[in-house]
Amino acid sequence: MRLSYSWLSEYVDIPWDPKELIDKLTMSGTEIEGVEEIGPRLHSIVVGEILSIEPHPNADKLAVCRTDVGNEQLTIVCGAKNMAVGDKVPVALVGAKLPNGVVIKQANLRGVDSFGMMCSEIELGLGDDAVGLMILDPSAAVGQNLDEIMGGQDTLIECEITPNRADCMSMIGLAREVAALSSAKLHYPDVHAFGDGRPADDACQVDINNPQHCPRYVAKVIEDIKIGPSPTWLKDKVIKAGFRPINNIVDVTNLIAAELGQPLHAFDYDKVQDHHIIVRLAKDRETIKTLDDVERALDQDMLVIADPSGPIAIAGVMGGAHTEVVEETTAVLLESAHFEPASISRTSRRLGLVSEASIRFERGVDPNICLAACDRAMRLIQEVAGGTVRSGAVDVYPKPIEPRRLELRIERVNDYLGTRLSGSDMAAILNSLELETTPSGDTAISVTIPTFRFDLEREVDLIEEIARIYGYNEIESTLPRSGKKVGFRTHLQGQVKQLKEMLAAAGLDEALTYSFIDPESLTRLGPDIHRDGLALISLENPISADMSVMRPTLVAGLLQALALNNSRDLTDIGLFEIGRVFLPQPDRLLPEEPLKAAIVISGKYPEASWIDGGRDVDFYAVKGLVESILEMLRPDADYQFHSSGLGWLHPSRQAEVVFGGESIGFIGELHPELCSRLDLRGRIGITEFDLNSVLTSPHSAVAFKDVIKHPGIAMDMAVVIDKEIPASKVIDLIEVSTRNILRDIRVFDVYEGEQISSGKKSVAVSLFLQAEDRTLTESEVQQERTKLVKVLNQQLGAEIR
Amino acid sequence: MGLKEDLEALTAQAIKEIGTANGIGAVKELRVKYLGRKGQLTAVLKQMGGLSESERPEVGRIANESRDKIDKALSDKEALVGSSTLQASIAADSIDVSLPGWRLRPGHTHLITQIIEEITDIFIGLGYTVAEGPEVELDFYNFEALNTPQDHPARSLQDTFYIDSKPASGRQSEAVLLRTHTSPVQIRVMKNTLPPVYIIAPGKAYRTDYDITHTPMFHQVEGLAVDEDITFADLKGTLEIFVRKLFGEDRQIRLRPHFFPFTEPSAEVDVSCVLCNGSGCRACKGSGWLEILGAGMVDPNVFKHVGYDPEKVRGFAFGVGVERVAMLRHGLTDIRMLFENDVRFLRQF
Repeated sequence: MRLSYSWLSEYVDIPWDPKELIDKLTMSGTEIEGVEEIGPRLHSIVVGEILSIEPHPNADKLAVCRTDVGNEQLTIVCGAKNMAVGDKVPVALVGAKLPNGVVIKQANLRGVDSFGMMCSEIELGLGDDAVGLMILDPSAAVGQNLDEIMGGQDTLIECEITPNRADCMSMIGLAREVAALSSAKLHYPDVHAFGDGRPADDACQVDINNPQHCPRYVAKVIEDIKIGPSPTWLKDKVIKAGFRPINNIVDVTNLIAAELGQPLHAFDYDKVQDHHIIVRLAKDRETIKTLDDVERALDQDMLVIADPSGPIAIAGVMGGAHTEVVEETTAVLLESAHFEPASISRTSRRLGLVSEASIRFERGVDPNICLAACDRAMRLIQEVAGGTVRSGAVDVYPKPIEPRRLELRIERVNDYLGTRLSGSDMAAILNSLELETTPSGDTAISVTIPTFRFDLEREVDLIEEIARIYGYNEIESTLPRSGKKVGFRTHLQGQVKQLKEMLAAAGLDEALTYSFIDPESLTRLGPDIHRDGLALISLENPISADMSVMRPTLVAGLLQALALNNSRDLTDIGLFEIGRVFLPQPDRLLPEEPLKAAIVISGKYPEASWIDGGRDVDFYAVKGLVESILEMLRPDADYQFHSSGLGWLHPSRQAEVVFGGESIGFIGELHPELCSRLDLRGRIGITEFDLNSVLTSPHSAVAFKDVIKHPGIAMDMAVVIDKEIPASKVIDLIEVSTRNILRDIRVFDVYEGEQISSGKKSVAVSLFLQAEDRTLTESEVQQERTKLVKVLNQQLGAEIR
Repeated sequence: MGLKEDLEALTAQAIKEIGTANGIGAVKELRVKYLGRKGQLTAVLKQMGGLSESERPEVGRIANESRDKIDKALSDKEALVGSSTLQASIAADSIDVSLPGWRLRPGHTHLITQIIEEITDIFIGLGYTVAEGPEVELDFYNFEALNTPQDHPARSLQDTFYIDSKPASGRQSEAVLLRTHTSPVQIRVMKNTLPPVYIIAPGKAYRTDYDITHTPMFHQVEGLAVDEDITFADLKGTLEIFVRKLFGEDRQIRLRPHFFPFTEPSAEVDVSCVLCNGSGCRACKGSGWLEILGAGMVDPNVFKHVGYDPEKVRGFAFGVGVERVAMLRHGLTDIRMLFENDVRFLRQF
């Protein structure tokens, strides 16, 4: 809604300058989207009267005009055709600067000196008519500055009206806001009915077939009018309201829409068959050619205005071309109707047709302004187009809509807002908004809601009005008083937070990737990337194909992030993401959203330094991270890594993560073939695992074990086994054999090469043995060693080096 | 010459030799030479047997004094020699302390995570628990129960991502969509809990905007307080604490009336501009204020949808855009960078 400061001043004595007005509106709920200062921009542009028009001696398309500009007469060469002797036109004097920046100079045009320029609307920024000169109202005084007749300086304020405040989609609505905020007086425009004595009923007939969609229809007729361009004051207002001037009739209807919020439609009276208006639903396969010259197919849900021959307008949306007011029109049937918002909204949406009328009807219009708007329009039409107006109006309004009454409990208002307002404070605020109040006992107020405030339906709506006008910022600040609230994160939330911090401390950076991904990115990774047989969840209306399916894995997004960094020559990358993935659940409306953790690392980890060259990422880098994570999150739980066969990972460098006997994810290196296809450099360590199963419940409190005080003995062994035997077998076997006294075991070296026979590897382990109840003797340890050597040899064919 | 004189000469000789001894080995030899079992002092003492009863205590005393003197001289010399060896080895340890340590370059949690955790901690301190809900939601929780009418423009394909906009059941409330805000968590919590309710719900939300200030996925933190005596003043006080903790204790806030279907009265909340401090600049479009969140008193219709009696409880709710906080507080100019994951961006925060 575009608001003109000077126009608004016609309805209310604004006690503020435009800047203050903007502030007051902002703080009472009307958001300001933009401000435009206009004028005085038409400096040195004055009203001129054309005294003579002569053909140009050297150019067929030009004319030489003699023009009176008040204190002198000027010769001006002009290319327009639409002017006649005696016309008043805008003249830009030599030195004038047009709104488009052009400075007018004295010029010689094909042999004739020209002292200024006669202007079109578009040249003055007053409209978009570029064809001919702007012809001014004959009453304009020659020599007068155009600024003065065009309204002069003004501030145009673009207001965002919230959906509930349809009443503010008009000058009068915003004037009411100003009046409420400032206690200034409102001046309503003249809406008194008048006529020539002949009843309107004789001139037309109106039938409403669907009163639920059209509760009211007012029609009035004016005859013997002369269609033409609007006078300057009218054009000026229409432009300020954001409309394009068309002709004096249409401009008046648009002015009323802007002023009172009631959209009107003018039909060419003589083209309405039998002067009979029928408001009905469209019939199947009915069509109408609308004002914009488009043939539109209607359906049975759309409300139309028809005459006996067929639809002549799409109700509340757009008129038909056939009954359009044109230059030859001499009589107008003016419609001022009330339509149900949902019906208009549906029709507008289905036709893809939005108009100034449909925007207003969709939000809602005061049903009781129809007649006043019609009378006001008639007065203005007569002023700008002449004619005689029939008395009265055809007003079909079968069930008049009455003002609503609401009870407002005084205590409830203060309880809601945390204020200590009195009943009379509240009544004063409501009265300033034109809401009538009467006391209802000692504790409540009975409030009558004028029909233009149809958004006020409940007591709580009135509470908001009181808060709004009282001022949100006048209300004090307190805190909830309840002593029953306790703040905490759930176990899972706390663990996720800890995990993120741990991964960051381990040198990884947290990535956030989109939840919707490119289905192609999954295809590239092959069928093993998400659970067999599960369909993907697709968006019906994605932004683009590469953001069109909900991710079943975090991997695709992280690899994309890695590729982006690689493409920017950033190579030592460790990224992690913790987020939900989306898996369809058969027979459920909503998918499952398990929480996953994923890591990708590439390049050196840790990074190279002057101390050492860093380590190239491989399988063990990512495995170590996962081991640390699991150990931190669940020190009590048991996890293993089993070899696996996922197609998109390196065939011999991957494993399944088994936690508490359940497979929760994988670790591995990306398949070398995929690395080159995805333009990724070096080995890529990657893992993804399920967090829900790891973090579901707090693990039980760890039971204290006494620290062993007897000294222990360290023992190293280099075990030579077949290359294919996993080292974990050696460790498992040692663990089983020395269970009671083994406190720690770790692999400190793995060797293959010349020192041992081919096909073998040496796994060097370091054991720490310690008994709970005694000091181990050398001979005991020696026995233990002998036993181990025997068992390892028997079970794994191992030799001790 | 008597025994007494011998002792004195021996002591003087020992002390002289200790004084000129060089190195820890020489000092050790001297200890053996004088105080050892076959040492010179021992040899002298062995002669004491030949003394008379009257001479013996006097000479014994002198002998002990001599032993103590030599021992002390040896210990002092040992300490002196030991410490200079250490000094030499310390001197050899000299390094360049300007070289970097054995460090693991610390990684960074995402800026969005950091802001969410910061907001979460503020509200945990105020007694709120953290709630979560699904990102793929039903129309019922995202719109209907939040009092958003069927034909509301927010429900259009232009704003909302749909998985299934026309459910087989024909019930619009069963349409499946990506939640457009974190507000549906309010509904899920209230449907499952009796008042009082004090929660915040951080999480992802989705809308079909994509430009330098909008990404189709973004993060919100929703807050909800429902109790017997909640007031609009409580909402104001709570938001003031929140905004000041997040943007600085010297920030001002203001509430402007607004419209949301699920709150009444509703407000938009502005914080005094973090760049110009309220005097007006490009960031705040000259107004001195930055819009930071939407809030209001829970609409009675929302309570009806979850089975709460609006005559018995009242509540307030608010929703803050995390990316917006990132933009305003950290000066981001293009929020799409947040989800591009260039490590040079991630490592800044």
